[in-house]
Formats: sequence, C-alpha cells, structure tokens
Amino acid sequence: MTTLHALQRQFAACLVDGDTALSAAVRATPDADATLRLDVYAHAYRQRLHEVLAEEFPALAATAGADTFAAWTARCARERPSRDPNLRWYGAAFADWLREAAAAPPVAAALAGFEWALSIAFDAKDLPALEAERLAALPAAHWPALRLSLHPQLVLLPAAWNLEAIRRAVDAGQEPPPPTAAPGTLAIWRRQRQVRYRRLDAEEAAALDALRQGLPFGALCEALAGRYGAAAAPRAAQALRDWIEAGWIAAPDGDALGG
Amino acid sequence: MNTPTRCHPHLGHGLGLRVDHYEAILADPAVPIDWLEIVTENYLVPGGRPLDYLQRFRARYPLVMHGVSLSIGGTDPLDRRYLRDLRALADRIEPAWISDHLCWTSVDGVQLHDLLPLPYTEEAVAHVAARIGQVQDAIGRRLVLENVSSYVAYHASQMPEWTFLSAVAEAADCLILLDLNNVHVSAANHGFDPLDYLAGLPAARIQQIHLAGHSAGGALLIDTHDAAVADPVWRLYAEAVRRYGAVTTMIERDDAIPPLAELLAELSIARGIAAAAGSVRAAA
Repeated sequence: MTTLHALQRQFAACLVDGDTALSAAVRATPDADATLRLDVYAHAYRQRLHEVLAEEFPALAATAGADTFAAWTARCARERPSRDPNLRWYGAAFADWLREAAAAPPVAAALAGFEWALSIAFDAKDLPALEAERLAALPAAHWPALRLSLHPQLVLLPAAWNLEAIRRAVDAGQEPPPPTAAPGTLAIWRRQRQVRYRRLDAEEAAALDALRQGLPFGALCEALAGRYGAAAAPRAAQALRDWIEAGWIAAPDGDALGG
Repeated sequence: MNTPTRCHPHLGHGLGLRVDHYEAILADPAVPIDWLEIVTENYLVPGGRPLDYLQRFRARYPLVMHGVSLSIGGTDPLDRRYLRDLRALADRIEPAWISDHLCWTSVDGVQLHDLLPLPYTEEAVAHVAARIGQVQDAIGRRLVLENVSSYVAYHASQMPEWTFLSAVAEAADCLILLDLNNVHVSAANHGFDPLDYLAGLPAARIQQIHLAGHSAGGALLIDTHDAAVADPVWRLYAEAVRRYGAVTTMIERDDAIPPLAELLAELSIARGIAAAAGSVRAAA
C-alpha cells in the first residue's frame, strides 16, 4: 500500500466510522485543532447523504419523524456507505439497507421501496410506447391473436399498505395518513415527463399480469368472461385503450403488431 | 517542458446551470448569459426530463461539463464505466471542455462524495499526472482541473498548494479551473497569502475561473456556495484578470439559490471587473 493509499484509507475511516487516527497526520493551528478541521468533513459526509435521502424519500421521512429518519440515514452512512460515484443512486443502497439490515418496521422498508421506484421512473431511459393510432389501424379480425408487451418502464409493485396515499399527502403538503394495511398492486410510470402512480383494482392487476405473461388479447377476454360475460371483450378493449393512453404498452418492433 | 496553451475557446461570462433557473433562462432568449456549466453527474442518467432540458440548453448555449466524482487523486483504479459514461455524454452534447477537481473522492470502493484534499507531495504529483493522462486518453480531450477548498493540511506536504497544482498541470499537460473562492477559503483556513497563490500559477494554463460564496463556520471558512460572491473574492478576481487577461468566468451557486436576476447582477459585476482590467492591460 502506498503512503497516499494509507492516508486515504485513514480519511475514509474517519468519515465513515469516526476513527481518529488521521488526526496525527493533520496540521493544527492555534484557532483550529485537527479534530475541529476533520469534523468539517465528517459533518459534511453525513449531512450530504442525509440531504439526498431526505429529498428522495419525503414520505418516509414524514412518516418516520425527523429524528428517526436522521438516525436511519446516519446508521446507513456507517453501515452501507455509497459504492456508486454518482450520489444520485445512493437511494438504492438506503432502500436495500432498510429492508435487509435496519431495525425499521416493514412498512418503512415498503415505503422506501415505493419511493425509490418513483425516483427511478423520473429519469429512466426513454423508450417508445405504443401509439393508439397503430392499434386503431388493426383490422378487428386480428385482435384475438394480438400479443402486446407491457412497457419496460411500467412498474407493477405489490404493496401491503396505503403507500400511495401517504406519498400523495406529503407531496400535497398535508399531514400523511397513518400506515394502514391495504394489500394490492401499485402501478408506477412516467408519462409526458411526469412520474405518475396509482393503485390497480384486482381485475386490472390480473389482466396486466396476463399481458406480462405473453397471453394474447383473446385469452385476456376469456379470462374476464367468467366475471363479465358478454361484456368481457368491450371491457378488455376499453382497458387496453386506457393502458395505451397511459403509455403502459410497449411499441412493438417493425410490423409485429400485424400479429 | 510542454508548451502551455489555453487550447479551448474563450466563452465569456456564464452561470452554473441549476434546476431552479431552467424555465427563467429558457423563457428569455436575451438573458445575458454567454455559456452554461453543468454538473456532469446530474445528467449521467438514462433519460427523462434532465436530458430533455440539456438538449434545449445545448441548442442555445455553449456548455461545459463539470464533474465531481472522477477521483483523479484517488488510489483505486480509475472507474472505466464512469469514464465511458462521461465520454458518451460528451459525444452527445459536445461540451467546450470537461472539468473536474484536483482531489480524491473514493477509496477501497467507498464513495465519500466530497472533494477531499491530497497531500502536496512529489508522490502525489506523479500519481495524479499519470492518471490525468489515462483520463485524457479515455475522453479524447484535454482535462481542466479545479483547485478545491480545504480544511485540513497534512504534515506530509512538501510544497504549497499552488506549486502542487502547477506541477500537476505541467506534468500532465492539462489545464486549470481556478476557483477564486476556494483560494480565499483555503488561504484563510491555512494562513497563506492568496496573492502568492495567483502569482504561483502558470497563467497560460488557466482555462476558466469560478466565483462563488462561502460562509464562516467559527474558526474556519466553509465553501458553502450558498451566498453572494464576497468582496475579498471580487478583489482576487480583479487581480486574476489583471494578471492572466480575459479568462472564461462563471458564478457557481449550489444552495440557497436566489432568483436568476440576482446571479445576473453578480455576473454583471464580473463583466465590469474584467472590462476594467482589460482597459488597464490595453493601456499598459
């Protein structure tokens, strides 16, 4: 190990673990001893990580309370330091840490997972969605065999609590509701540059799941027939139009739509 | 010795691009900004709104990419994925140049997300210069490196900071982004004369100047970028342009971001100082 590497390792230990060995390598002045000087960096390290996490997880911070949230971010900074050069991605480490290591309630980890999914959606890769005109041009006889794929950026997140209601209230500057059990699926997507999210009803979640499994549109209608009878086909068609409008269906390659 | 040249174009007076000012800048085609500096990492993302806006700004302004996580002074191997991403973004927006900081930011794979000071040693000069060569090869451009603010100095240091910066720039044949607020902050924190700093740098390698604000944290000045440029920093700017001539200049604000008009007023002060120094140089 070079002298430089040894010094940098000591510096990291000072910031992450509060190790004091580096003090001996640092010049003191009458006004500012080594501890005071190193504290500037140690404080900035914790503060920077805390601020980026507070920005990424506003609903979690509001629900947990400022003190608890700050205690989590400080522990995470020690136990799960950042490994990516871009601070933008530290939220992933925090969400993982809350789920795997922290003495946090499961709802906190779930809320972190939901908020991180919102964050990822914000600047996810731009991929084309199916445009309604392409589907409208398809002859009716081709519909039953139509195979569509969900847009790769659409996230269908199983949720056991009212996560979306908590976040919506916090975004609106209101007191969030208490976490309550609400099993279901949340859809998270981006449309016209805005990140959006909503809870799916059970029927819609099942239909989207069928689509994800690669079932053709005809099979989707059959799956709904038990519940809606003759209304299944128009109901499925309406759902499909809504999903296309939301950008949830991927644009197929070439003329793949022709089925 | 290499022949030092300011090889990139002179861009005039610009601002650091911040989300708070996106709409105000785009709404006014006559806004008096000559160029924009982006924080590179904010746009090293897969897609979405940040890259959309970036294209719109690029259509109107010269851009400079200013990174914070190259860790040129680090001892881990250079991050090849980061360098590839850097080059891909540069290919996309064709920046006037790419800058980062003369510091280190990570060790043993742990990212500390701060601009941490190097010891000013011969070992560090050789180490950093070799890595700059690798980076310049990887990005296909000459790198511009900024002096950082610091709160610690090491017993191990063998030379003043400005000698270290100059030695690195000469050895690697790279250019300098001179942050005058950082010079002022570090001078106060370590007790050196900022004019010695300016006098000790190779003038022809100074590609760009940063101006920013700081705050007083007890016995130390802290480089917070949350305030207007302070008077001593304006005086350093006057001295710098007198000494180096016209240098591309920008104002950097990262916190407590004011309305655009306040930064434009500061930019106007900078233009005035540069113009006055230009007149004096022309008359001399």
